[in-house]
Amino acid sequence: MSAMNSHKQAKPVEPGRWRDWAVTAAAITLGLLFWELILSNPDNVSAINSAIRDTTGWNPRLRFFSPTMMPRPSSIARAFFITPNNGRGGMLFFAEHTQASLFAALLGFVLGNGLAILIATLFLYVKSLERALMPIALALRSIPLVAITPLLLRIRFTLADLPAVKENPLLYLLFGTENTIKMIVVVIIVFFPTLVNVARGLESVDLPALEFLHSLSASEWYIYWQVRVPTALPLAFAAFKVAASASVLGVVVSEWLSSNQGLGYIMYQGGTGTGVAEMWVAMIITTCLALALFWIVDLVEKIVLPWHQSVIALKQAMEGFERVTRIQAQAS
Amino acid sequence: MERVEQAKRKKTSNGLTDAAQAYGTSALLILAVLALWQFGIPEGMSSALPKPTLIAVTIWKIAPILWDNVLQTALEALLGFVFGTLAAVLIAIGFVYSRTVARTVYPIAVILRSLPLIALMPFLVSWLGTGIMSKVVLAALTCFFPTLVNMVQGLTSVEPQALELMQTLNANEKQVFWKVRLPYALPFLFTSFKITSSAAVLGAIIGEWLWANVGLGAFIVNAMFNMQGPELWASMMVATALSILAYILAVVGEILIVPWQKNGPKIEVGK
Repeated sequence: MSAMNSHKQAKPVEPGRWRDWAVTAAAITLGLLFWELILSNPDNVSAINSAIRDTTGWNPRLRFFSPTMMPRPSSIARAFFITPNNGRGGMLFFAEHTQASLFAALLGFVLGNGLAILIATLFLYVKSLERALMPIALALRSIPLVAITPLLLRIRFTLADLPAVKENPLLYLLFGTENTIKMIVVVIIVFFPTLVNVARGLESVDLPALEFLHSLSASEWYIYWQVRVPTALPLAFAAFKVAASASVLGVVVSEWLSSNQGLGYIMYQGGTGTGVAEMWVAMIITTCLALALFWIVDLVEKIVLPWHQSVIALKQAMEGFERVTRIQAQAS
Repeated sequence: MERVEQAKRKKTSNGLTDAAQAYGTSALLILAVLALWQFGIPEGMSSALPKPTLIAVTIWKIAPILWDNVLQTALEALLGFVFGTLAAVLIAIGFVYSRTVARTVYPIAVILRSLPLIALMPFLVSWLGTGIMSKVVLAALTCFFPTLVNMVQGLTSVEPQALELMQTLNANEKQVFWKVRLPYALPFLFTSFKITSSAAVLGAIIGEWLWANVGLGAFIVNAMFNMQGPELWASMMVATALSILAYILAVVGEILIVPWQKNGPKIEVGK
C-alpha cells in the first residue's frame, strides 16, 4: 500500500502547468511585499532581531537585512527608472551598459560556436587532426574555463603596452580596451563543449544509412547535409543552451576584473558598497539576459528540430519522463 | 621509451594501443607547444607569457605562500560542497515525496538552473561581507543545481518491479527509501559529484577574486594587477591542480562507495 503510494507520488511534475507558475508568482509577490514593508523602517529589523534574541537567547544578527545592503524593491525600481543627478542610474544608463555587455556576449557566442562547428567538421574529414586534438578538447571541455580570465586580462595589459600595438590604430582598437578580451573569454568558454558535442554528433550517424547512401554513390556533400548535420543538431543545441548562460557569465566576470563599462562593472561597484540599488538592477538585467538567450536558443531548436521534439514527446510517453531527462543531461 | 611502452601494450590489447597512440599524439602536440613557448615568445610578451621553466621554478619558490592560500580555498570549497550537496539532497527527497514542495520549488529551480549563478557574487558580498561565508555560499550554489537534478532523477529512476516487490513484502515507506530509492539514487549522486567537486573549487576561487585577502583567487588577481606574470601562472597552475584533485576524489569516491552500476543494485530482502 505505502510502496504503491510512494510510487504514484514520485511521478515527476509537469513543469508547464500554469497553476504551478501562479503559485510561484504569488509567492514571489508576497515575498517582495514583505521585503518592502519590513525595510520601510530600519528599526523593524532591529526590533525583530531583539525579539528573537529575547525569546530564544540566540542572536540571529539580522543586520545583513539593512536597507543599505538589501535595498527595498521600490528603491531598486527607482534606480532603474529615474536618473539621479550624478547620472549613475536611469534607463539610459542601464541601456548603455547592457548594450556593452550584450554585444560582447552575443559576438562571443556566435564566434565561439561557429568556430567550434567549423573545427568539428574539419575533425570529421581530417582524422589525424582529430586524434591529436580531441583528447585535449575533451579535457578542456570539463574545466570551467571562465577561471582563466585573469590570465587573458594579464596578456591584454602587456599587449596594450607594446609599442607596436600603441602605434597601430587597428591593433589598439582590438587590444587597447577590454571589449575584445571580453569577447575572447566568451569564445574560449563556449568553444570546447560545442566542439566535442558537434564532433560526436557528426560521427554518430546510422551506419546502415551511411552504407545505403554510399551504395547509391551519394556525394560527401549530400551525406554531410542530409545525414550528418541532422544527427548532430540535437547535441549541438544541447551545447548552445549551456553556452547561452555561460556567455553572459564570461562577459560579466571579465567586467568585474577590469572594465569601466558593462553590467559586471556596475555589479562590482555595488559589491564594494557604493550603488547597491544599481547592483541589484544590473543583476536582474543579467539574469533576464541569460534567460532570454536560453529561451531564444530553445525556441530556435523547436523551430529547426520539430521532429526532435516530437521524438522526445513519443519517448516520454513510452519510457517515462525521467529517462529522457537523463539522456538530455548526459548529452549536455 | 614511449615506443617500448607502446610495443608492450600492443601485445596486451588493441584498444590500449589505440589509446596510447591517441594520447601520444596529443602529448607530442603539447610538448611542441611548450617548446615553442619556451623558446619562441618575443621579449616584449615575456612578462605575460613567462617561460614554462620559470613558471615551474616560481611554483617551487612561492610554495609556502601558495600552500596557505590553497588551504583557505580548499576549506571554502569543501564547506560549500557539503552544504550545497546536503541542501540539494534534502530538497530532492522533498520533491519526490511532496507534491506541494515540487509545485512551488520546481519552477524556481528551472529558472535558477539556467542562470549564471557565479555572477551573483557581488550580491553575496554586499550581503554576507568579504569573509569566508560569501565564498562558501557561492561554492554551495554552484554545487546545488546539478546535484538537485541528478538526485531527483536518481530517486525516481527506481524500477517499478522493485517497488512492487517491496510492496508484496509489505515494506514500509522508510524501508522502501533506504533499501530501494537511496541505492538507486547514489550512482546518480556520484555522477553529479564529478561535476560539482571541481565546480565548488571554481566557485570558491572566483568568489575570492576581488573580495578576499587570502585564498588562491585573491592571489591570482593580485598577481594579475601587480604585473607578476610568473606568480600569476604559478598560482593558476596550482588552482587547476586543485580542481583536478577534487575531480579525482569524486571519481575515487564513486569507485569505492557505489561499485554497482546504474542498472540498479541488487535488492537485498531485509529483516
